Amino acid sequence: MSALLRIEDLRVEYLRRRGGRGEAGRRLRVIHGLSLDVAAGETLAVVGESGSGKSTLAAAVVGLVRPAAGSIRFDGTELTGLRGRAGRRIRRRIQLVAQNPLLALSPRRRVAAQIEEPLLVHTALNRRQRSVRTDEMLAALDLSPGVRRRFPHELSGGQAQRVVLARALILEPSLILFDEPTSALDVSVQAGVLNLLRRLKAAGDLTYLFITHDLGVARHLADRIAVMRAGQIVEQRTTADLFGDPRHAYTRSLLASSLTA
Amino acid sequence: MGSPMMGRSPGQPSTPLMCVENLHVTFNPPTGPVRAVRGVSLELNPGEILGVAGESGCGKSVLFRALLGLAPASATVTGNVHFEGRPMACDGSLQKVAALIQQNPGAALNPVFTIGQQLRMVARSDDPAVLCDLLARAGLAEPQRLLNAYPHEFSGGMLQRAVIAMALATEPRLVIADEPTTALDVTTQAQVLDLIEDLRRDDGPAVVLISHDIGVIRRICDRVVVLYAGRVAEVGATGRVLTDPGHPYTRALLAAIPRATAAGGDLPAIPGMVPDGREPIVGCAFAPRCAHAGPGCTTVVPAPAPIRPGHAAACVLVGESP
Repeated sequence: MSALLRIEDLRVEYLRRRGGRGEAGRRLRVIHGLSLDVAAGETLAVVGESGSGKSTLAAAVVGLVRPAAGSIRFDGTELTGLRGRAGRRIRRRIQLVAQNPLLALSPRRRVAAQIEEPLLVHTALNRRQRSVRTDEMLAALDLSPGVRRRFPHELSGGQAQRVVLARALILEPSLILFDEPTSALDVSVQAGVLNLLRRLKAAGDLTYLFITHDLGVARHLADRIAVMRAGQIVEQRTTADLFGDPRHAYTRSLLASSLTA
Repeated sequence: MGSPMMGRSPGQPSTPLMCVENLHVTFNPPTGPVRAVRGVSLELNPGEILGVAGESGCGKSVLFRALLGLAPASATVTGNVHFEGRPMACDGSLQKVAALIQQNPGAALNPVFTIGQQLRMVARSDDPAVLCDLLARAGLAEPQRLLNAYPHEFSGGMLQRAVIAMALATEPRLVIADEPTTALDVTTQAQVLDLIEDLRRDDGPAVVLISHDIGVIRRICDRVVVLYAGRVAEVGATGRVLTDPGHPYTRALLAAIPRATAAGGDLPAIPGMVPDGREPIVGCAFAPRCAHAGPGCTTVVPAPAPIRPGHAAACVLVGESP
C-alpha cells in the first residue's frame, strides 16, 4: 500500500487568549500525536465528535493552520513549512470541500466566475479555455448550463454543493478533503451528492479523506474508517472490521449512539 | 431504537390535545403569494410524541410556528384549531400553554445574562431550589454552580438542556421541538432525545418533534406525520410508517438514508426538488418526482387513504399493488 498522504506524530496547538479558563498553559492542544496514512485511490473516513480535531486536521493538511510539530507528507513531499511557488504547485493537487457551500461561495459573484477561479490562480489558460473547462465541470456534475450565470442564492443546497465540487475538481486534484460535505443537506439530496462522489472517484484518479460525524455516511462511502477523539486516532480499521468488531470503547459508544448506521 | 410500537399512554382520554383542520399558511411578499402550508389536518394526543418529517421546504417549521402565532404579520393563516376541545386562534394564544425548543440553543439564550437570571425570568421564581430542580430535571449536574454560569461556558448539549429546563419552567401542555438535536453530536443527541422522551412522564407535556432525520424520529416518536409540499403525505404509528410505508415519498425518503445494506451501490436519490410555494400544484404534489406516478396522479389531490387503523397515506395507489 503506497500512502498518498502520510501524517506522522502531528501536533497542532491554538494560542489561547489571556484570561482563558481551563488548562494552566496558554496553549490549547487540539491535535497531539496523530498519525494517519491515506493510500492512493482509497476513501478514508475520519469520524468523531465536534471538538475532536477533525476539521483542524483538514486545515493542517491544506495549510490553513501551521502544525506545532510532526510531519505531513503528500506524495513524498513534506508539506509543513512549504511556501511560495513549490507550495502552490503541490497544494493545487489537494482540494478542500467544506460543509456549508453558501459560506464557501461568494454571494456577489456568478457561479461560472467562481468555478474557474482556481484556473486563474494556478494555470495560464486564457478566458476561452477557462470557459470550456467550466462547461466540462458543469456537465460532469450534472449541473445545467443555465447555472453558469446564477448567483449562489439562486441555487438549491445540492446545486450549491455541486458548484463547490466543480471548483475543487477543476484543477484535477489527487486528494480531496471533505469536511462534512453533506451534513447540511436533506437525505434525498445527500444521496445524489454521495452517488456523484462515488462516480467521480470511479472515473478518475482520486483519493478522498472524508470527515463526517455521520456513521451511516462513513459506512456507505469509506474503504477505511479512522475514529478520532481528543486530537488522536483511537481506532483505524477497514469499514467492515470496524462495524463488525469495534475494539476501542469509544468506537463502541459512538456506534451505540448512532441512529442511522 | 426506543419503543416504536408504543401506543398512547394508558388511561389517557381519547380526546386529542390539539386538533388542526385544513390549516393553510400563505406568505405574501411583493413578488406574489407563497403557499407554505396547503391544507394540513392533524391530531395530537395528550402525552404523545409526534414526529414531523419531510425535506427542507415542506412546511414543517412554518406549520407549527403559525400555530404558535409566530408567522409574520403579513402571512395569511386560515383553518380550524382546537386545543383541549376549545377553539383556538393562531394569534399567539398557544404560547401560554406551549413551549418552543429550537435548533440552535446558543441563539435562544442571551449571552450577557447568566443561566440563572434567564431561568428566573420564565420560571417567575427567585427560589434557587426551584431553579436548581428545573436544571436537574433537564439532566444537568451541579445545578447550583450552573445558575451563575453564562451560556458561553456551556457545551452545546448543556445549552440545549438549559433551554429544555426553561421550557419546563412554564409547565407547558405542549412542547414543540424544532430540530432540537441537529446541531449536536451523535452521543449528545442520543442523551438529549432520551431527555425529551422522559418529559411526558408523570402527566408531562405532549411533544411535537420536527426533524429531517428519520433516525431521530424512529428513536422516540409514537406517531409520525410526513409532510410534503405543505400537505400531509402520510401519518401513522412510527413503527408502522417506517417499516411499511404507504406513500411513495416516505419510501423514497427512507431508501435514501445511507446504511450498511446499501454499501457498494448507488443510493436511491429522489430526483427533482420540493415544489416551489409560488407555483400552483395540480393533483399530487409528489407526482413529478414519483417513480409510480400514473395519469390519475396529476388530476386530483389524493385524499388520505387508510392502510390500517391510525395509518393513512395520501396516495391514489394505496390499496393497489404498486
